[in-house]
Amino acid sequence: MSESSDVNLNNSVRNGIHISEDVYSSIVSSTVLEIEEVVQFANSGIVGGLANLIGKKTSDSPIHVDIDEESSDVTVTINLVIKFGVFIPKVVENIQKKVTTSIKDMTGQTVASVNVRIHNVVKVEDVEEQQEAEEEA
Amino acid sequence: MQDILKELSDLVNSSDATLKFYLGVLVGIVFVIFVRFLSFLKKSRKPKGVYIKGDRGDILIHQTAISDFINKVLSGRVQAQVQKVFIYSKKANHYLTVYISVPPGANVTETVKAIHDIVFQQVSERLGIDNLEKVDVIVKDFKTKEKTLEKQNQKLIDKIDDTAEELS
Repeated sequence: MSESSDVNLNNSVRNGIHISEDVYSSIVSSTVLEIEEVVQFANSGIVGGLANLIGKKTSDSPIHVDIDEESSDVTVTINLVIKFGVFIPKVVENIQKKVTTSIKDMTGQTVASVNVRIHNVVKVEDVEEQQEAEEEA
Repeated sequence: MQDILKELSDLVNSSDATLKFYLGVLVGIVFVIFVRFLSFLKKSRKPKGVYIKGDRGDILIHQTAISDFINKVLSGRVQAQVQKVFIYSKKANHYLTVYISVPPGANVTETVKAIHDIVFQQVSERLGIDNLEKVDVIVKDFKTKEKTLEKQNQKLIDKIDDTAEELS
């Protein structure tokens, strides 16, 4: 098999190193969950869940990574649930900054944009109550 | 139609392993095509909400998030319950419609005015949506879930008790 046939469209290729979308997802996931104002990733819904089941990632997946075939630039879309009461644009700016830096530092890849979708705003007490109820059940 | 169903039923109940294998493969392919079609439909439909352009990427605040936010912001502050929230954008401006239900005997004019003020202020201060052009408040009915209100009141009483204990 020739070297060029190893190039997978879902992967980013830089200097012969193949970086899978899952690697970017892991980096984004660990970076985002470190941020205090982020409660959790948003569920992808029924269609998203079914699509994940057959291995197809939609823009409704909690983390969706797009890699430009020519420039290898990365575009990340993150679906989130944020704490109630915070100033959302500031939190999102922080997320975008941290994700861009993490990807750049760990993979050397340029990040074209980090799109953030806020699906819900919740009070931390509500989440804790819900978790306690789930644990009790 | 009945003939087709009968033939299908015969196929499913058939003891031929090869036939069952091909049937399974066919069902799998149909399932994958169906899911891909659904995700294509979902992808082509722009999610409802407010888009805010940024230097490093866009922010989308979903309609559900805005609805939840308004519900939480108004909870305990006004004598009303938010039922639905709709948002639509024209050019760069956003228009919000809030459907509420108020308890019988409540002052509707004051409630609606309070909702206007709170929504305009909080949506700008917390969500960063500055170009909110109009907030329509529609009173849908004059009843409210008593249990929810009682729960809200109990929460407020508990909170006040806790604060009083801390202060004392």
